[in-house]
Amino acid sequence: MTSARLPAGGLIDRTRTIAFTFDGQLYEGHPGDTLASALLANGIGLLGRSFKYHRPRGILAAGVEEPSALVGVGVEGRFEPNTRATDLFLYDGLVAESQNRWPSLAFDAGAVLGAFSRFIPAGFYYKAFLGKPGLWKVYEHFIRHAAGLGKPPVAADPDRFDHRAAFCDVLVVGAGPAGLAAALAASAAGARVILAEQDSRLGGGLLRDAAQIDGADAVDWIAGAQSTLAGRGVRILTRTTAVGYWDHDLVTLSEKVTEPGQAPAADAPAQRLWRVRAGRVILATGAIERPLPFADNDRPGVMLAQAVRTYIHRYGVTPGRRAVIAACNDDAYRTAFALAEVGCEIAAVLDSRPPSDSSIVKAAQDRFPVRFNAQVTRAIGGAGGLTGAEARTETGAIKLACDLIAVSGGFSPVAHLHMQAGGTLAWDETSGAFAPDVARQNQSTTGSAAGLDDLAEILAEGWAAGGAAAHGLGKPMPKGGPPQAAETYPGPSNSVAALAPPPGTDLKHTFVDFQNDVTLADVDLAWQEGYRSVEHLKRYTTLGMATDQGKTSNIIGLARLAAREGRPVPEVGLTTFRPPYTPVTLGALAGHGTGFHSAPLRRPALYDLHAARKPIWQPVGYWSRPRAYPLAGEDLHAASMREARAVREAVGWIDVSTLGKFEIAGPDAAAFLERVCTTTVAKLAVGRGRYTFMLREDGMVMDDGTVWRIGTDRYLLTSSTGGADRMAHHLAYVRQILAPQLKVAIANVQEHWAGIAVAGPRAKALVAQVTGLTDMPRHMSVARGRIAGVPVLILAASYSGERAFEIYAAGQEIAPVWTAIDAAGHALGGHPYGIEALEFLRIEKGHVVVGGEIDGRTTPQDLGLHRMLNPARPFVGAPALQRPALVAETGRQQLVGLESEGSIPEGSMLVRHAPGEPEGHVTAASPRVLEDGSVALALLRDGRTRMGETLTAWSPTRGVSAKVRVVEPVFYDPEGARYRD
Amino acid sequence: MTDAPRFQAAPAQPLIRLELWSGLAETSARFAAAFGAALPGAGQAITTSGLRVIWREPGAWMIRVETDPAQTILDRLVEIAGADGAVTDISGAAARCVLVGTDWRVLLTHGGVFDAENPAFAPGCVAGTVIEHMAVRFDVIAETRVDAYVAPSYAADLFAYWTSVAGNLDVRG
Repeated sequence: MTSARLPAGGLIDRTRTIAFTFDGQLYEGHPGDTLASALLANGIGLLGRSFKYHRPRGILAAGVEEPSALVGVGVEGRFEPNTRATDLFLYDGLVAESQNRWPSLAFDAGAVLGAFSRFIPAGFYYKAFLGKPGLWKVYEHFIRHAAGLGKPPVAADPDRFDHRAAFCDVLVVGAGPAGLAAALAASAAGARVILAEQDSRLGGGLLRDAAQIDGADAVDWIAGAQSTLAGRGVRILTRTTAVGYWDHDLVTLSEKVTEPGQAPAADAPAQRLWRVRAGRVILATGAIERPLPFADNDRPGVMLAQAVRTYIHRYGVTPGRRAVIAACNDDAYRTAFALAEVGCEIAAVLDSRPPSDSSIVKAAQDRFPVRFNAQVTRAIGGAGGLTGAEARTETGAIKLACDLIAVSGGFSPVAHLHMQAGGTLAWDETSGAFAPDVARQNQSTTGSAAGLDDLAEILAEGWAAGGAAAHGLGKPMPKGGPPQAAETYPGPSNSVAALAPPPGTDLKHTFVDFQNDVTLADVDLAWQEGYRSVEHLKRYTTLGMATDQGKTSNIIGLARLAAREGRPVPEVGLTTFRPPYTPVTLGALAGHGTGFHSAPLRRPALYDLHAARKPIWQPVGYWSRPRAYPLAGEDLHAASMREARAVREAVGWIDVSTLGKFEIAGPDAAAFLERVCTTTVAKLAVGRGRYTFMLREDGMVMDDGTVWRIGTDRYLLTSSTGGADRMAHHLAYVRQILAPQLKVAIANVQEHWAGIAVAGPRAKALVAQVTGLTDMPRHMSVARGRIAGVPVLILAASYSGERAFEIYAAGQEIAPVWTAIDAAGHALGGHPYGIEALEFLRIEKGHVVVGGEIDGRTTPQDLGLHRMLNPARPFVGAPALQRPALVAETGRQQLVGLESEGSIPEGSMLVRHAPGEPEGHVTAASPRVLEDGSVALALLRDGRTRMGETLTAWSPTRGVSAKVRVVEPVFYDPEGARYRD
Repeated sequence: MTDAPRFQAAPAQPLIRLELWSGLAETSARFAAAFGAALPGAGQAITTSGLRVIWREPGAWMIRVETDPAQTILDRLVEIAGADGAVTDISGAAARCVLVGTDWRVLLTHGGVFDAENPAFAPGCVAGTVIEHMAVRFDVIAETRVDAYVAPSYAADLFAYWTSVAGNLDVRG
């Protein structure tokens, strides 16, 4: 490779140098360089090895479509594999390494696979790894070792990633000439505009080719346009790629605040994911040049013709000294002129078309050897670069010495976002390309992405699209007209389809998908083996399934399949473009949702008091609740058992602030509650409460809790912690949809009331002591009082099976209440208890819980709650309970208890003999609190008819089992004597 | 440079929920007679007679009592609601955070899906949204101040999130 930096030119800052390393070697570049351009400037053309055959790979493109020049960049947690060197802007200290080679890039032992390529074609793994199932473990070791491209980082990413929302009238995606014109027009009309550009600077194709716009050099016009847009308040986002187009014109943008592997500034995020909701979206996403199919077309030194111009004009680098131009359009002739301008010899321009009379072709004929109806058939070279090209011409085969083959196989409009938005595509047979057709959302496509290729036309259409988008939102049409362009060789590119290889081409070495090493021979093989659908072809060959998602390969592969099928390309179809358009880091998707919790932590009002005791915490939904309060030397089990025994033998207290709580008020409050709850409510006397549960409309139990009549027309309804939000929605649904006529008001008071449950044989004494009440409320009754001067609401209800009280106070006032109970409770031999002990206690008592026995599939009958149902049946879910499947005598999973001498594995399946057909499962298990052995709750097929049966609770995944006896699901005080005075 | 928003937890003040099932116009008139202004319409909030009255949902308002004893206000609201609605003390059900600075709008675009930068979201407007999974309600007091209400259990995490974001606020555009 003999490329080097040009002595002048380019949009790089030559006054500064940037040091970086590639494979441990120190190099220098300039601000504005990509890693690819800097390496080219340093004479480096070999950047990596291919995925499957370990073929040497260089630089094909100059943008995000690059399939070959993939590197690992950064160190430790910031290491990012599979980064396109063409989309990585240089920064001080950049550390990059090549991929998929061992021991070195220059000498890669894996390259031996290339010699065996005939034995490992597409789909070989479906045929090769046959035999006894046990052999797969042997195969897998080697496959896992060989598979994958690049390596993952070995440390956690230390950086912050942002998520941000934005709204606008018009979102313009792409800041090439069409996008800039569209943004200028839309903003001139007064629209609120966002302009997103994946590059580090605006301009798109204008950074590649010289042009005059409105009398100024293109680069100066871009600067002026940027200034104008900024002055109009347009939000301009560079290094920001529109990666997904979702329903209702929601577009996600991935912004690189820093380059891959680069440490961000203090407090700044590394990347930002924008969710943009736009009134109109204009896609000015350009077009991607395609390579040409010929043998060894993946060699370093074969480069897209437009990329060559980009390296020359934008980066001041020439990729070669003697070039062959292989093309099927006029645009590639610009590359010949560009190379010639910087002193590169043009060995030949090989145009697959017949002679043309377009101005640029004629001009080229005057300067370069131009051959029509000519095609490259093979690139000659290897890891060290190209030495020549073989070609097929009208006069026969020729061989040309060269170190660069600039190829242009036509252009594929970037229609990914259009298709993601539900738009359709239309096939242009002449140019061999799909272009956006019908748009399904408030979206239009303009510029090269719409199939245009004349600059004046692109500017005019872009302006028109911007104006129309703004006008469609009620803005006036913009004043003035589109920017005016002047070029040396104006006009369309006259591109013709060049999707087939020259006759006689060595198909086994003609690459279609450079990243996944898919050749034309692979496509043929798939077709021969019956993979005629494009979707099947894709999955069998992995064509287009690499990180580049087939940006340069899909159409060529598709055309090959169509040719083998003997059908037109549109009939063969196109695989679906899905987000993301370019790879998005997992960090960007996660945003702040990292660490122990991927969601916020809800802290109950007593959180600090709990934290002072250093409890074992338990996430419950978003809440964090004490699971147990271990004393010195205690583990979770020991602490929980001590706490549970305290409740059974003395007294315990637990924070129940997280329960769902709703105040229902109004003259129709009781009627409303009888819609929501399955039990009778209207007959409750003031000051009394009862257990209740709620159904979904399909008759399944949704939640349970208690309902208390705390005033003449006022009730307090409690529900489970985990179901509180769901219950809030359910109440609103019943209120607004099912019973809007009722005179009722609903207030969510979940965090207005913080609560402490006090339970145990000494609970009554404790509560009497701290409240000073002499007349304690009996079970399921309400009282009011004060603790530590704080007004409290006392509900006498038991979840543990012991005499118990739930004491509620305003959230901001609850701390002294807890402190008073804690002090008095300890004096009575009690302990605070966590939700592990609570679980032990409720299992012994046979109380069901949401997420355990209430699992969304159980009816009141299944859970043995049916005797509580309101006989008038006005409640939600009542009609569904008449469905035959829900009232069947047999076949349903029913709540039972299980007993065992040893421990019972929670979550295990219930079988007659292990291994065997599962007949149910253990929903919750617990050691007995005061006795030996274990108990459990379970859902068992026809369970209530199987009392006394012995089954096996079997967990094959954990390798444990236990013999269990089926019993009634109440293990402790079935008469309920302990919670009544 | 940015004028990064400053924020602080506001001291707890009594909160009352007023919900009507009938007689909206009549109740609003009674409210105006008692407190000097009608109940605010959808998406609006007002300050009157020591009360910040914030529309919550159709037929429901959250009233923050800034001066008078809460029980006094509660009793008066019960009278005003009469047979048309109910009043519930919900003090402590929401923590209030005061955000001050010109860039509070930018801050509120982070971690959520709300168009806080829309100029139409002006003083007197209220809206509810979700930020980083947390339900938040905004009450725009002035161009340089917005009150945010969040369930107290979420407050610590929300403030921590805003602290991390506000440290390097991007105010482009």
